[in-house]
Amino acid sequence: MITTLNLISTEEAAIIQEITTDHVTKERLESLGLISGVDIVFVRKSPFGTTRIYKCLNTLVALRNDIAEKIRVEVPDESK
Amino acid sequence: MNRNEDINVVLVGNPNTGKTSLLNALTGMSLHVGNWPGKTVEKKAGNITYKNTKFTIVDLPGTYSITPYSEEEKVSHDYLMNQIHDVIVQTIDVNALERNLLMTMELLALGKKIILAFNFNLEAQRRGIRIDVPEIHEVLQIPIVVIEANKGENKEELLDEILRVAQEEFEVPSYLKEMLKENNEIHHDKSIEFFKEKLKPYYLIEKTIQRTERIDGIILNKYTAFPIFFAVIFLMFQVTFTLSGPMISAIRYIFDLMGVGIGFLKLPGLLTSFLSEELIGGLGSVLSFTPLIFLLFLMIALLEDSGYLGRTVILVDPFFEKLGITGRTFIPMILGFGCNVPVIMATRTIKDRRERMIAILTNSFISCGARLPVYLLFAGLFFSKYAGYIVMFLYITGILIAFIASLILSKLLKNQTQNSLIIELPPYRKPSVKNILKHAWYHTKEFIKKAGTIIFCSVLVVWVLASLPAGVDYGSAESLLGHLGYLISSLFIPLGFGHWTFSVALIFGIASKEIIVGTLGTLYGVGQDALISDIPMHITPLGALSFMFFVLLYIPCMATIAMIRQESGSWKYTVFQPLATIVVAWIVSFFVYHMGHLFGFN
Repeated sequence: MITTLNLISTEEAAIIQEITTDHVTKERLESLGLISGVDIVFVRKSPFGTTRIYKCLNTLVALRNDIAEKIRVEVPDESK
Repeated sequence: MNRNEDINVVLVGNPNTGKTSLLNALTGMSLHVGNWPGKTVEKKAGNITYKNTKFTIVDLPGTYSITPYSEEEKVSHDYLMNQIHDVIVQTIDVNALERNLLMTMELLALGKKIILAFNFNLEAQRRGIRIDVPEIHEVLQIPIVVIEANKGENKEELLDEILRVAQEEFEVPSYLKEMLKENNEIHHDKSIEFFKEKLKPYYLIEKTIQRTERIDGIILNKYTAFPIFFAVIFLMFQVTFTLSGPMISAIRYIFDLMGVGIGFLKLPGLLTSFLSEELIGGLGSVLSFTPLIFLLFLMIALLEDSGYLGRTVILVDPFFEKLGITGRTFIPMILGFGCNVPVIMATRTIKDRRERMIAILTNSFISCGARLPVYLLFAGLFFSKYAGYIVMFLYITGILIAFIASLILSKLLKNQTQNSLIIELPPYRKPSVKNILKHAWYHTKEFIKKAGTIIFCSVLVVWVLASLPAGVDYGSAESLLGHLGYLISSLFIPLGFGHWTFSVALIFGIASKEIIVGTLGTLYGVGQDALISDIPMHITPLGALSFMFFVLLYIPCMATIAMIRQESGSWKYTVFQPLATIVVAWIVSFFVYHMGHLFGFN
């Protein structure tokens, strides 16, 4: 299933597909390890829910939701 | 044996990989901290002599990439491209090896000799990560030294390796070719692929739930996050400002005594006043800052090195988002309640230049401790029962104005990128006492060097104005300063404090806010106690209220302006900030005074 990073649920693993931010922001995200093909897990929300913390390449990265919604991810189907 | 040629080493690495610890371990006390020329990015460098060779070690800012977008990345990139260096040492947090290697590939693409310093190996062991260093070395074809930077372990091995590599030819590893784009930049996804295919077998993560995530479960929990947050902030304030208070008083007292001592030397009047007011007074006001700055940087280093600073950013971020900035502004902003001067240096923790400039320019609206005596005197005198509320109201106004100014500036200063928050939350780690003390000490030293001269000069200017023409009483109506006071006092008539003494006190206040009350005392020729009976002869209660608002908002002290110059790297901002604050102060005081009239106060 293809969705955006802000929509995956806690402890759910996904694979980054595409980053649709502006170029400079994309470079920044990539240097932090948010690169297409990389596994990413949603760890927790901040208390007010405006930022989300993700784990990727064994590091924790916090993103505001407006960035997370510009990162397309694939959540592998586990049903079968 | 002949002395070998010097070796220039550049230290690079991601933030939180122990780069500063390694630098401290390698260079010892030779380390010096400053800014990159023409830049507002911190530069650290030091040297060491080992096996008859002098190593000069330059520390580049901690960045995730050397693609030149942010100011810090530009500094790194330009240095690596243009400055002579023999070997690059990259500190690697082995807990995040894959991420760290992204930058390694960028460095290799520059065609530079590089050594990897694998750090935090013990932590990785505890976290259940198994790393086969020899195999990784085999694959990467880059020298690797396993260190433990906090303890200074294996630094000789690292230096030996640097010596060896410096004399060797460099060969670009063959695997790099496939990762390069046409412009010689690295395809990050190819770099990740390479790791997955070639290195994964030698890098196994066995545990999934980590200590840091468990701690975050408490630190960022809906119910416990804010109680912990407020406790930490409270403690930080207590340590910084309560502990520094007595030390500052002691320093002031010693210098006051010296000033009095000069009086007994029976030197000519002008010389006496020069020695006691300018030399001793100036030195005293520079040095009296030092305990505060030292403690403040100690606390910030503690917050940063423990990993908590990043968490505070996301806790308060929703609020700052509405102002067009991020939660990174919060810690510097609240520390301004103590003193704006070190805070402007401390904005270095804000990595975004635009946001950092906003923090620098608006911080003086946060009412620092030096302004409190003015409020206490005037509020106590005119609004006895409500004094507490008045003071609180002033503080809140300061915060509000800082917010409004941030909002306006965030609209004026545009970024080419989306303004949002992207921040790594590093693992919680026990800070090293040695590193924190060093950090605080270097910044204190830097402050004395940089701000010292400017404070000294401003005290000198005030002294000259207050002492000339020869023979007048220091700062009296007949002195140049007194005349200047008369001249500008008409500007303050619409604000309700048009008497010349207030103008003179405000001019003195530019040198330092602490002396405003003392100046009024001197001008009326009375001590602190008699001030209470003299002041009401020259100002109405409403005028006093307006005066307090003016003191809250007008030009910051010279030390703050000096730091604005240094940290913004821009004369434009350094001139703009004081002028803008005067205008804001005038408008707000005017508003307060006339609204007061409308409501029938006077």
